[in-house]
Amino acid sequence: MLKLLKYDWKRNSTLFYATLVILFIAQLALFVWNSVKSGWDAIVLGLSIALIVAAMFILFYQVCKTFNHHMSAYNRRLLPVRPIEEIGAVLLLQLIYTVLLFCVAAASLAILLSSMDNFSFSSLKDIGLKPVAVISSLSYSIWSLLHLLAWIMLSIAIAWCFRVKHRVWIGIAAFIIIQSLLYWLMQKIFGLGGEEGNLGFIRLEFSGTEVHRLSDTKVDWFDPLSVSFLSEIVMFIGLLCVTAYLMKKKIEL
Amino acid sequence: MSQLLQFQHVVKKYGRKKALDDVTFQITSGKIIGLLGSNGSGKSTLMKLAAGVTQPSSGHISINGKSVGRETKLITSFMPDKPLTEDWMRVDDAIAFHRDFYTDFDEVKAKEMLDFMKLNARDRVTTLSKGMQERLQLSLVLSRDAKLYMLDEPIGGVDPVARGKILDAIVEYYNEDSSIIVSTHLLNDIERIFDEVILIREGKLLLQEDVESIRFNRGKSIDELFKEVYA
Repeated sequence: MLKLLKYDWKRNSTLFYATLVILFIAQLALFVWNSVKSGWDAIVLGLSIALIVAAMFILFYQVCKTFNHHMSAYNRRLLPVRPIEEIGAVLLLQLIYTVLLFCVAAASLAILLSSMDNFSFSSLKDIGLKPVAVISSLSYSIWSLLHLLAWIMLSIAIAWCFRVKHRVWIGIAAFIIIQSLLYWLMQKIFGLGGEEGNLGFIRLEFSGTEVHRLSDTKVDWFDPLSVSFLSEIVMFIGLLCVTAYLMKKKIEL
Repeated sequence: MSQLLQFQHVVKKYGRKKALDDVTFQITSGKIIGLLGSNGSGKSTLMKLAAGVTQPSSGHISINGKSVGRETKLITSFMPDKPLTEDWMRVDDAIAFHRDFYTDFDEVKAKEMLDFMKLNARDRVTTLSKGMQERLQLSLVLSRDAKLYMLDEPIGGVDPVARGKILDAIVEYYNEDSSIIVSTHLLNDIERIFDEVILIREGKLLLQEDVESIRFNRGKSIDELFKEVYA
């Protein structure tokens, strides 16, 4: 799997380094702008976060594209490796990208925040934002991203099972239909979803368009008895197994 | 001689169309076999099935006694009609890729072949001409110490000089204990290297026979037989 990862990394390295360098330069430019101009804090912070999200999206899209490429690449399909190793390599690539991006984003945000007039790092402690809570929240974000990638890989694999011109739409339809069915099923069995959402350490309650924070230090998904997290793990494994089966038995060149 | 590749009543359908129809044959080790047929006769499908990148609709395929799968990919070296490289690669990246994944890849042989084929290790694969790309593909495939080699149209679409070079490389570098299947419909240059030929038409196996037997018993060259069958 690590050898596959090595070649996935090489394949995408130019875009990855370019994305990180451009992100860093843009963040630096925002820092300089904010240092010389006052009263732009909110806009600069918003732009900074938007840039991080854009970088995340570019890299996520590239990882999906890499998996899609592997479906039709002879050099990959002829390798004496298990499909699950191919899938694992792509997931690992996404994991590494996300962690590295988070590091660059954290560093650049820290530099940016230090240049803001009305901000001090000690104020984060005052509102109860502890390191464990931040790490758990970031970990949950990474998990969610990997879960979404597993869904997209399954959809890509389903699309490749068909030898028709517009198979991409079959993949999109499969993504929507299977997700809706499973969501409905989970709601029926576990009563999940609806009015409550779980974002790692923050439990949220929705009323209309407003979001209220209920508790900010409870790490539900670390609890092995947590039904929602366990069901997510089971679903994740299921997605990988079905994708591997399709790659082995149904996708043809 | 031991049985190397066996097809038993293999059918392959794409929708309603039968690409292969009840194909049964077997080949033994130590032979160069010509897989002959006109365009769309099922040559590529047959090779892709044996290479494990396509599944049969029914029937069974085995290589060295094992059903086609991960284990047979270790002993089968397939040159498809599409690239075995990626756009970002240089020639030496392609060599490294094969070395990393195939334990039977012989790097010394690969370097020898690059010299023989006049390929530069630092060239980007996207800058190579079609003929040079075919040469690279062949170098990658024949540098493995596989039991079964399969070359899908290795001389299709290349100039006569490259064609001669490719055929010389096949004879020079293939492992004599193994077998090699070469699919083609261009027979003039290539028939000299075959020990045996398999003819397929519209997915059906028409004939499997030794080249010598065809020449002596039928009094025809392979090219003449081909023209007679596919006329």
